[in-house]
Amino acid sequence: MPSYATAGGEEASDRTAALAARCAACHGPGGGRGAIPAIAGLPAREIADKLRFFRDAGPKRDVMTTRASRLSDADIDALANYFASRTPDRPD
Amino acid sequence: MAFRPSRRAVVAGLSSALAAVSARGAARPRLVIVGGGVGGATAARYAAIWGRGALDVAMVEPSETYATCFFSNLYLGGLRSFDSLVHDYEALARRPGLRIVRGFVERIDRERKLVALSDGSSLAYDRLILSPGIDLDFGSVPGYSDVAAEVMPHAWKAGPQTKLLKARLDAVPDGGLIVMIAPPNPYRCPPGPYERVSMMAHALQAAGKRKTRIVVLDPKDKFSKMGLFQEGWDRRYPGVVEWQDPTIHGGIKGVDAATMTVATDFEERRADLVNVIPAQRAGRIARDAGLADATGYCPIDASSMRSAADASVFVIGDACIAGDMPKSGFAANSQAKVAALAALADLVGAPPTPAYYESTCWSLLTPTDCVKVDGVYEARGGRIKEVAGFVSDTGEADERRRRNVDEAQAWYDAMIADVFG
Ligand SMILES: Cc1cc2nc3c(=O)[nH]c(=O)nc-3n(C[C@H](O)[C@H](O)[C@H](O)COP(=O)(O)OP(=O)(O)OC[C@H]3O[C@@H](n4cnc5c(N)ncnc54)[C@H](O)[C@@H]3O)c2cc1C
Repeated sequence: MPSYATAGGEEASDRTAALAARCAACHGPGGGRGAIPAIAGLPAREIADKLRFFRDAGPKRDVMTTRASRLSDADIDALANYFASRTPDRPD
Repeated sequence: MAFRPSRRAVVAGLSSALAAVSARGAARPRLVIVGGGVGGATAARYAAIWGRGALDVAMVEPSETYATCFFSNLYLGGLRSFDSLVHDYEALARRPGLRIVRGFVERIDRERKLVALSDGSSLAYDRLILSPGIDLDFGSVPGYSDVAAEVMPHAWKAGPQTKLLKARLDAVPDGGLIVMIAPPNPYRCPPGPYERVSMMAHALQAAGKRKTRIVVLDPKDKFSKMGLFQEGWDRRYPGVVEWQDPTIHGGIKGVDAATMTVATDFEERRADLVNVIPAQRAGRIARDAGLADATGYCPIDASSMRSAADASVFVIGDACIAGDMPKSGFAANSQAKVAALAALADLVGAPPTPAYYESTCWSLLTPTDCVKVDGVYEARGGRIKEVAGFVSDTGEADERRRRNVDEAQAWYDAMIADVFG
């Protein structure tokens, strides 16, 4: 579980953990560092902007477009904060 | 003694619930996981991370190493070594709160919540996650058996079978005949047989064997990414691949390993290589435990992966019936996270978290041409339903297909780290 608190309290952070685990399947634990762009440690603002771009205007036949399509604004902000606080060397 | 979550913890989230469990100082709740494949190892890894030592997690797996079926077709195509497919459990074994038990589960006593291992020992559980993968139904192809598989490999479980298929492929003479018998639905990795055909065709081309043909005898009249594969075969390997549906072959009568022949309703042919991929069902341990229905696979609750037959058991991966999701490693990894969180919530009394599911499968047509199928899924009306997704388009630009290859390679490394890291 992420150890930081979010606005919605613990239940929201459980939800973030479940959401962030989805990202690990392609980006690697904690946001990775491979050919699929690393997201660990990026500024939260940048991550949130990218996720909103994919959700609202993502290219067709793109994995990120389908993944982001189901995210709420609160989910996006929580994920952005979560990955901004990770480093590839301390993934979980 | 049966485990009971404390009432006080039920209102809080997972963190407080975990703290409450630790503070009680009682015996830690026990989670047992059967199978150290993609589903089982992911579940073990996440239960250990999320449980933060408050759970006693044990994963039972007979093998010391795991060879991935995914990318085994690339090994056949000569694009990867076999060793690059093999992974061990050393990093997982170092995770606090996680024990890896080398053993084979012989029997599950659901009444007493015990799994019995073949060495006579047993493990008690409060929650059980099963990810035993598939069993092959050799009898689905007359004449086929585990003995015949030594001559006509299936290579649908990665290991010695995969190496045997590669050796036999490399030995096929120019002008020879390869026959694949494709499996009926539902089976592990829907695009897998057709990616395999593509990679075999590539290996033949790379070896300069221009006159060798591949005939696919399919019990189905259509298959995953069919238009994409057929376009790829026509364009990249013209005249090499002949795919036959039941209206063309009339029915698959059987095989004879002694004479290397394959009989259909219309003819009997001798081949230089026969790859038989038989029908499949859930791994035996799940069926013997009474968790499967008449289809041979295990029904589950779509929002938690909990077995429809037993509230203390979860079934994930290829062995379960996952609605619109394919039987893929990606899907097993995604289902494992849902089951781990649901089991944890049961055991420490935290409220359940919404279930997220997804799967993307990349298939290589050539070393520089890769297509993909993608889906995002949610629990809807009692089943796992696709809510977003796509399939690559026919006629896409070469550049896009090349990028898909890079994406697939990067995915492999990320997935391995997410399962075994
Ligand atoms: C050729 C091919 C290509 C593929 N390509 C892809 C791909 O590109 N992408 C993708 O996502 N998927 C792919 N797949 C599918 C993927 O390999 C499976 O979907 C995935 O392995 C399923 O995971 P699982 O945990 O259900 O089963 P498995 O990974 O098979 O793991 C089952 C484990 O359980 C253990 N076990 C079984 N019974 C017992 C018992 N009684 N006691 C203890 N342990 C037991 C076994 O030893 C095994 O390690 C491919 C499959 C094939 C055949």
